[in-house]
Formats: sequence, C-alpha cells, structure tokens
Amino acid sequence: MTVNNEMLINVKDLRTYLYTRRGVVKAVDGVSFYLRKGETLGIVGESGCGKSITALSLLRLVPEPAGRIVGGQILFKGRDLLQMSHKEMRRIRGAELSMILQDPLTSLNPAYSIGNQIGEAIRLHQKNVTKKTLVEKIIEALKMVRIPAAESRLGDYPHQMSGGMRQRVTGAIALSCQPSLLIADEPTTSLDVTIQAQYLRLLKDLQRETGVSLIFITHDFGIVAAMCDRVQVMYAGKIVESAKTRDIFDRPRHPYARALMGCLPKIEKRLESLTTIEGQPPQLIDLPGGCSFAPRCPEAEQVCFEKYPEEAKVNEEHRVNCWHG
Amino acid sequence: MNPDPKENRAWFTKKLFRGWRLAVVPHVPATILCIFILVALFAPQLSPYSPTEAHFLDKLMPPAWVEGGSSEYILGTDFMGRDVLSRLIHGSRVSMTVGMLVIVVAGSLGTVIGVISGYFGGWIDILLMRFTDITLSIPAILMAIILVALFGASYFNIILVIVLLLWPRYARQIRGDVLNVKEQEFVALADVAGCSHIRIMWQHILPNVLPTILVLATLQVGWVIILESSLSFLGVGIPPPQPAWGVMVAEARGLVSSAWWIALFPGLAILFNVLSLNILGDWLRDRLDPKLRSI
Amino acid sequence: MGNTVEKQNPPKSVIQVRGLKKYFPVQKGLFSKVRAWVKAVDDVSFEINRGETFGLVGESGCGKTTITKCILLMEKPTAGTVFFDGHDITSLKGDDFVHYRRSIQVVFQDPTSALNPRMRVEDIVREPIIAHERMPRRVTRGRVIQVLEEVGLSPSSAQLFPHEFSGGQRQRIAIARALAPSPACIVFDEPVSALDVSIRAQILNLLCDLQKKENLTFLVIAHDLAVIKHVSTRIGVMYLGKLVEIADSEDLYARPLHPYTQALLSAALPSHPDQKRDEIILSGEVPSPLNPPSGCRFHPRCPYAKVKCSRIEPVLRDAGPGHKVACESTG
Repeated sequence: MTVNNEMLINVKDLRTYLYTRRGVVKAVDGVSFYLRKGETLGIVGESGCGKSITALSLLRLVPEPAGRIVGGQILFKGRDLLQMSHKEMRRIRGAELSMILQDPLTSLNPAYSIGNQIGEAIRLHQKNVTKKTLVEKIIEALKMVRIPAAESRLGDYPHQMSGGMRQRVTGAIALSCQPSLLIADEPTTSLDVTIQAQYLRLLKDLQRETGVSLIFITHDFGIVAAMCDRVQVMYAGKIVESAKTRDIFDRPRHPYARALMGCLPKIEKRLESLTTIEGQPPQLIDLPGGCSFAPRCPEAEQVCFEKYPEEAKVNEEHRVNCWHG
Repeated sequence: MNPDPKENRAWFTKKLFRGWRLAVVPHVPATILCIFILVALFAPQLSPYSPTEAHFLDKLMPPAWVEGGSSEYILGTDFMGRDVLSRLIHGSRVSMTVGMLVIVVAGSLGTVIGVISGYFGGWIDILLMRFTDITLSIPAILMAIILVALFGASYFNIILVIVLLLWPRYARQIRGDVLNVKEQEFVALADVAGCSHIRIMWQHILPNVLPTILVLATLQVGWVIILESSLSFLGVGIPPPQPAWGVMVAEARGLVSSAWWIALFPGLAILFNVLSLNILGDWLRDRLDPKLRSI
Repeated sequence: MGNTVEKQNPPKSVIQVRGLKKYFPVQKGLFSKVRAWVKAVDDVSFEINRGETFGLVGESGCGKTTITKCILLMEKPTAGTVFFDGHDITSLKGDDFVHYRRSIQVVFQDPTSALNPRMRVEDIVREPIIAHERMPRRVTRGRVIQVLEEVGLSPSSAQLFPHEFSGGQRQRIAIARALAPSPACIVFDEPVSALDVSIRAQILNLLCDLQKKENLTFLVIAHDLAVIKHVSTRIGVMYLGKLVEIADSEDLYARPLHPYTQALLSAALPSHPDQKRDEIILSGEVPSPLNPPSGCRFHPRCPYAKVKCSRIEPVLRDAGPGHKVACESTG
C-alpha cells in the first residue's frame, strides 16, 4: 500500500470514563496514537481492554449518560473532534469518518430494504441528490462491495441475505460517502473462515481503489498479520505496546503482548501446550497504581506495582510501556 | 470536558433524574402498602365504630376539619349516619383479602398452565392458548356481570369470577417467559443428561420464571382491586352490608357535590393503594431484570 | 493426545456413525404439505476410536452441529444409525439407555447459557449423576469436589452461583459437569469460541491434560482450524451435509486433498505478516441446504470442477493410510 506521510488522525491522551453504580470505569485511560493517510492500523486486545470504546470515542458515540469523554484531543485532518459542536460532528460522521460493527444482523434495520438503508446514508450527506442519481449511487455502492446482480437486490431485506452479504452491505453503507477513515470493529468475528477471507480481500481492494485509511479493532493477531501496517496492543484501557506489524511479531517487548501471541494455536507448528496468562483480566474499577498487568506478569518486580511504566522507545515506530522493555 | 471526577458524577446524577427513574425509590410505596396491610389486619381494633352501625341523628356530617364536623367522626358520616373512617378501614379488608386470594389462586393456575403450555409446545400449547385467547377477548366487566348474574353475588363468587378473568393474563405472560428460558442451553443439557420433564420444569424453568411471576403479582393486585371496586360500584360486587370501597363510592354517587367526603376518601384509598402497587411492581421488575441492573 | 493412532477394528471404536441422514421438513403454513427438505446431514459415516480426539470442522450450515445432536439423541436421525460400543443408540432401553446417557456428555459453546443461573455449582455439576437416580448431596459431594479440582477450580466454588465466575471459569464448570458421571466420551461443540484469547489457551491445555489423564474419547466441533489442529488426532471436514475428507491431523494439514479443505486451510489467517500463503479465494456463497447443487455439492465453487462433477456424487475413497477423500476430480 502506498503510504502518504500525511497525518490523517492524531489522538492525544484520550480518556473516556464510564460512570456505573459501582464506581468509575476508566475504559480508555490516556490512549494516544496516530494514523497516516492510506495506512492500516490494528488495535488489539481482549474483551474489556477498551478498544471498542476507543473506536466509539473517535466517532463521539460513547453511550451517555453513563459514558463520557473526559479528556484528550482527537485531531482529525487538523481539527479537534472533541471541540466540535454536535452539528459539525454529525456532518463528519459517515461522510469523512465511518465505522463497521461486528454483528451485521443488528447493524442493519430489519424493517427496511438494503437499498433504502444505503440510500438513507447517501441522502444524509448529499442533500441535493435526485431520485434517479440516488438509485445509481446505491447500485454503485453495492457494486463496490462486489455484490452480484446489484440492480436486482435493491429491494432485498437483511434477513434474505447471508451473513457475508450483510457485512458487505454495512461496508457499502459505511463507504457510500467516500470517507477518509474507516473503523472496523471486529468485522469478521461472526463470519465463516472462507467468507472472512473474501471480506478481508475486499477491504484490501477497496483500500487500494479509494485510498481510505483503516483502523481494525480485533482480538485476532491473524487479522493484524494479514491486514495491518502498524499495531497497538491494549490492556486495561491503556496502550502497552505499539509497533510496525513485523516488529511486534518478531520482537514483542511487552510481556502481555508476548504472552498473547504465545497463546494462539498455530497451524504450522505443533505446540505441546500453549502459553497461558495467569489469572483473569482486571476489573476496571479502582485499578491499583502501577502497571495494570503486574498482577499477572511473570516478570513483575516491585517497581512494576508502584509506578506506571514510562514509554520506552525501541525504535522510531516501536514503543513499549514496560519497565523491562 | 472536565477531568474532575466529582463534577462528572454530579452531571451524571442530574442526567439520571432527568430520565425520571422513580424506580430508584421504592420506600414510599412500600410504606404506604404496609400501612394498608396493617390497617386491614387490625381493622376491628383500629376502627372507632362498627362499619354498619347507623347513627341517624348524625347523618351526613362533614369531616372534622370542615365547619359542621366533629371529632367524633373524623372523616364524617354517610347518608345512613355510618362513620366513613370505620367503613374505610373495614373496606380495606375486603380489598386486601380479595386481592391476595385472587392473586394466589389465579397466579398458581396461570403459572401451571403457562409453564405446561410453553414447555411442551405443540398441540397442548395451541389448545391452551386458544382457550386463553377466548377468555381474554371477552371484556372483563361484562363477563363478570354475566357470571355474577348467573351465580349470584357473594364473597366466594366474586373471587371465583375474578380468578377466571385473571389467570389467562398470567398464563400468557408466563408462557412467553418460559419460551425464552427454554431456549437457554442449560435446559437442553438437562434433557441430554436424562432429566424427566417434571424435573426440568420444577428445577430449571420455574425458578427462572419466578421474577416474572412476582412482578405480575404486584402489578396485577392493583388491577384486581380496581375490578372488584368497579363491580361493587355497579352493584354486582361484594353484597351489602360489607363495606367495600367501590360500594362506598357507588352509594355516594348522587351526593358527590353536597357530601363529597363520602366518595372522596374511598376513591383516594383505591388510588393510593393501586398506585403504590404499580410503582412497587415497576421497581421490582427493574431490579429483577438483569439487563437493567447495571449500566 | 499422541501423534500415533492405532488402527482399531470396528468393535473397538466407541462411536460409529453409519449412513446418517437428517432432513428437516420445510412447511409453508400450519397445515400445508411438506414442500421441501433441508438436508442438514446427508449420508455421513465415520468412526471415533477409543482414546482419540476426533475433530469435525466446517463452516456454518455444514451439518456438524446436527450430527452431534443426533449422537446425543437431541434429534432423531431420518435414516442411518449411530452405534455406541456396538449398540444402536436409538433402540436402547432401560438400563442400557441410562448407561448411554451417563457415558456420553456434552459441553456447549456458550458457558453463560449452559449453566442455570439459579442453581449452585454443586447442584449443576452433580445433575448428570442424579438425573436417573436420586442421591443425597453428601453422597455426590466427593465426586463434585474431585471434578472441580480436576478442572482447576477450588472446592469452595461448589457453593457459589454461576454469575460469580468469569466466562472461562464457567466453561470449566461446564466441563466439570461433563466429567462428573465418568463418561466414556465427551462432545465439545465450539468449546472455546466464546472465550477470550488468553482464556482459550487455558481451556485447550486443560482439554489436552484431561484426555491424557483420564484416557477419554473426545469429539470436538469447531470452525477455527488452528484450534481443531491443536486438539485433534483425526479430523473430518464437512461441507453442506457431507463429509468430504477424513485424515489424521498432521496428514490433513500437510496433504489436503479435497479442494474445499485446501480452500479452508488457505483461508486461515497467517501467523506472521511475511507468511506466504496461496490464497484460494472461493467465489460465491455457501449454497442453501434446501437446494444443494447436483452431483458434488462443492462443484459450483470448485476451482478444479469438471463436467462429471455436476453429475456424479463422489464417495469417500481411500487416498492413503487413514486418509479418505470424496472427490472425482483429484481423489
């Protein structure tokens, strides 16, 4: 992929907290990252690490009143999204910044045809489009995601389509207004293996054709290996390691990242037993000071429990938050 | 964007109340209900006079704080000189008894039918549900009037009639819940392990349907009391001289403008009773619904 | 789970599936005649030998879950038989039937819905033991604690409720329940797909350990190829109700013969960004089991399809030691 050095989005110290009856959950606690034009970034972590809330925060779709973005900056094309009014944000959402979610079944409204739903997305951002042009644009969107016989499927309803097709339709809706950035939150988790392969190939092709930048939110390092240029590993609301994909596969520095990769059964190599991570993912309420991974870390020392590790620079693109990194 | 957690908490609480979730405060309705229950239990001790005792010389006296009233009859007397307060207190007995009995009987019947219908499905379900639909499609009051006209008005008959009207509503709701529980894998696993149908229904289905039963019970008592009061109002309820709130309101029909207190107080009693039950039922449902339990 | 698999004679196999068919009728309306059949499982035969782990892999709609349901007597086969220790399971009665119910247990995908939220762990775990014979708690307590410790939970867990445990721990409880009646065979339907990555590893290691220790026979269903490879000794690949290839675990991944197996393996995500993969991207969608393609069901999407593939339905044929393929084109 040709990567332009131009910075598309620059997130600085993002903090999103959730206020629950039991206390404050620091779902996203000081997350910083960037994405250049045409690049693909992966955000990896297990459930509860905050990756999905990060994605929602970028679009300012954090559920209120429970959740709230309490700090940081999101510089998108030079403008801070967190300072924008709701009206301005709505103009950007869908048109310049878009998202695909995990479950195509609930992403699509079962009461409306897919043509209707794609049309709605287009009409929201292109006010003066005639009916005829609208239909043409809808067909174009369907063709873009390689849905065969697009013209005849305008009136189809979501339940009449397979999972893979539905996910393509959500892709069509997300890309209908040619956004510069597409966030995909576990887009293939509910798909079969061969359908997943088709879908990822489609996304790669689309990136080549439209130059859209991608952020993948996933728990699967396989997707990272297949699709991403750079990757961040998240744990308990913070980024613990970020690097170029190759670097993280060859030389993971953070014990969590290393353990996570060792957990995965591999097809090529037969492992006698998989590396496991002791214990459970932490409750995000009242986290103790120090490194949040320390209680489960095989290399933890006294300092790890006392102070949160500063960012160490391994090389230009490779950063780790670990006292041993 | 304020990073100060205290300020954010205040903002959050404000937003919460704007959603007007009264469900957070069950203490008020619970207290009101307790008062009603205690009054019903200790009616003879609490009421100053017998509810049927007529003091013709003191008839149509207004409540104590109005000009012309006296502290002997705190809430005034009706057209036969009977103390309104005493009748109100004894009337609560009727409402409470009818309410509780009906709920227990109709609830049990409805639960059993709902569970069997939902669990077995097939033609049992179809048969039972058609029967339920038929019963539900007849307007309650009309049905009650016809049945009372056929069988005569008595305590027992009123309870029977309301039970017949109520159990289909239970059965329907419970059946829906059972269908949901049945989908859970632990039911299939119990089946695979070789558990008998009875065991599955008792051990697995029933405990998980319990919240619905409880919530329905709380919400339906109000409906029963209103139905009983309506029947009494129409003259086909609890026969005189038993004081039922509905009867009291009915009797005062012609006197609403001149002797307003005779109809007002029983009306208020019905209002507070049913309102408390409804609020409590809503709170209970919110509390027992795991999805709503935490954000 | 050793790498060597001894050839077993049919009587030594624990489970034998012969010509299994399961068709579901599709009716329009309540009283109209049956219009069509969903051929969820269409003439499937295989064996599971004592002490091995048989993995069944395939994508949604291939019929693997339906096969397990037939084995567990949750569904009645339309045709064909399932033998357990030589006995036809659909005709078991009395003590034999009870014995069967004890001998084969199942662990499902979703650990949350598999446990009754209103029952204590002790009662959940001992249920398969007491299903046919009431026993007081003190009699079963020893066994309950024993299996809880085997799956890595403390004895005090017995008095708690499911919601007090994490997802991974709940799956362990489900496994403990499956172990409680000392079964001969345990069926796992997607045992780890609902769990977090790091927890998956714990459970997979547990399964391997359990099998070694207790010499159990496992049937594992999964769609994740790496997971299946890690736990299985032999693997069967299914497509649209048919078994298209069976082989030893290592052999299948080293020498996949059926075009669908090849596509499936190539579709697996890489484990390193530089990994070279020949990506065989299949065209089209999986056809509906209501109207499967004629002849070989895979032929419309097969890169090697010949004319005869649309006319002849291939049969499983030997293609090497312990390796069978159903393909007219390459097999």
